[in-house]
Amino acid sequence: MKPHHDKSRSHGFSLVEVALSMVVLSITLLVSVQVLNQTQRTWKRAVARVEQFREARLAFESITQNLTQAILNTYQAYQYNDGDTPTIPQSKTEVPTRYLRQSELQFVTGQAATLLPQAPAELLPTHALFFQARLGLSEREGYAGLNRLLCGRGYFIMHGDDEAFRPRHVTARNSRFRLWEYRPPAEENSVYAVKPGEWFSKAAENIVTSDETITNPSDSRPVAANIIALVISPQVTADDAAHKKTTPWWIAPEYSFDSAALANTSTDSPQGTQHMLPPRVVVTLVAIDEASARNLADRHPDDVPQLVPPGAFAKRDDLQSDLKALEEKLRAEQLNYRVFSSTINLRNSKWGLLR
Amino acid sequence: MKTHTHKNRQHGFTIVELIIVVAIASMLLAFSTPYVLSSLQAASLTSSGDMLMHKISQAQQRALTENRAMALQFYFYDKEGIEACHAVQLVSVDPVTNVAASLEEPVYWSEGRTVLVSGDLSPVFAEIAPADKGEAEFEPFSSRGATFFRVRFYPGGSTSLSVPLRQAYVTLVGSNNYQEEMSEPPSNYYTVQIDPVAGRVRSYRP
Repeated sequence: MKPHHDKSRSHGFSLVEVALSMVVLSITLLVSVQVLNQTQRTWKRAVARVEQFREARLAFESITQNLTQAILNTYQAYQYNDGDTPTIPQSKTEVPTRYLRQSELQFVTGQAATLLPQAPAELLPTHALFFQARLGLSEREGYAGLNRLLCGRGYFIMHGDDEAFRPRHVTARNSRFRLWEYRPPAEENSVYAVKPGEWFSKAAENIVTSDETITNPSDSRPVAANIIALVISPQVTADDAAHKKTTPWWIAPEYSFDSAALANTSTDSPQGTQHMLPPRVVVTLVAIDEASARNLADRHPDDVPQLVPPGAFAKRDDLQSDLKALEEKLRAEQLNYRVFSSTINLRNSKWGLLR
Repeated sequence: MKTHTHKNRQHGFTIVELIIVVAIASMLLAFSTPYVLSSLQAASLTSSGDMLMHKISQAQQRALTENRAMALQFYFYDKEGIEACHAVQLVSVDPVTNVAASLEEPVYWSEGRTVLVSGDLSPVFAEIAPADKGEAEFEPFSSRGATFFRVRFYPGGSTSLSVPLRQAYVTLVGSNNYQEEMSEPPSNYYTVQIDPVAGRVRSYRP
């Protein structure tokens, strides 16, 4: 018996032993593959998030940096009459009646679809912002050193494909929400030549096209992909609000602020906030990461995804609840997002004039 | 019988067993090597591309803070049979005399595992102004007979690129994937696009 036993042992493992070891091995393999897979997915998501939010952060920084330099060059002029051009006398003998605050420049915020009526409204979620600042460059030969020329600047979000400007060998279709920057060269700044609001009205049409040339580049340039909401709220300082016993956003309760328009008038200040630069602007930007955006684009191959609930970001009082609703929607759609928000002091605002 | 068995077992593995084990081990190694190599290649491509992005933003930041044009010089020369761009250097350029002054040591793409190609994958280099290309003037490139292409970055964010946005890109590939006159990208590439007007940089990976 014993030699037989020994002999059978020297033959090798029994079937049961082999089977058992196979089972153990396969379980171990399965678990390790799962762990590896999970690690890789987490790693990829983390990298995508860092990458994506780096672009969004840079975009946010460039908005805030440029916005602080917004300028209106407001001045006081004699008012002669109540016509269309009240600062120009109709006759040599007409005498000025009072001082009038005047400016040829403009600072505008509001719903993007309202400010840019030429583009389809569903492509333009949330708000847009247009202002004048000394940020401009000239495209004329030899003028490269003049890099602080007055020019128009604007930001808006638009949904679209990047076919017109992605490298030729990149084949992936990228329908995304993008933040666009409207930055015509200084010599094309038409703010002095047209009615208020017209100098930027073509911003959404003048995006980069596939027949763009370097001698005549498009005025609107892509800044960052996957920015889904831009909320601009002009405000006064907390002190000013307390002084007036109201909220800091009383100058733009529905977000829209147009420095050329006669708004917020009262018997004390017949010109209201006309030709005034708001002292503060709260900029909120919501970005999603590239992996989430790809998922979203796969789910909506032919239509524009509706991420911002309809009617949201219309009243400043509802900002927090609107933001919460948007975040809930993004979580429900399983999109990774980040909210950037900052209060920007406009350097050239002379709000004290109003008090 | 019993002692014989024991003796036999103490002898260890037979030569056949050893050969089988070695064969299996080498087969595993042979199968896994390409994957390991390609992931190493991918990692060096990523680090090269990130470095290029970093150099561009560094040039733009210095241009903004020093309020003068900065430039990146891309050096093309033959290295181990590959005639492509192997290094990049940050310089400042005198706007009047067009003479470049080196601001930093040149940086090389991850020890030769990555190259920046010219041609269809980098249309930027086809349209560089004559003042911004020529024989390399700094060592060690001048002794290697290198040529350089210069891309200037101005304080306002604009660049000296004379191609529209859809052509304003350069592409890095692994040196194992390099071919002359590449018009189609290999399976892995790192393309960096620079907005010639606004200066914004964006990367594209497959």
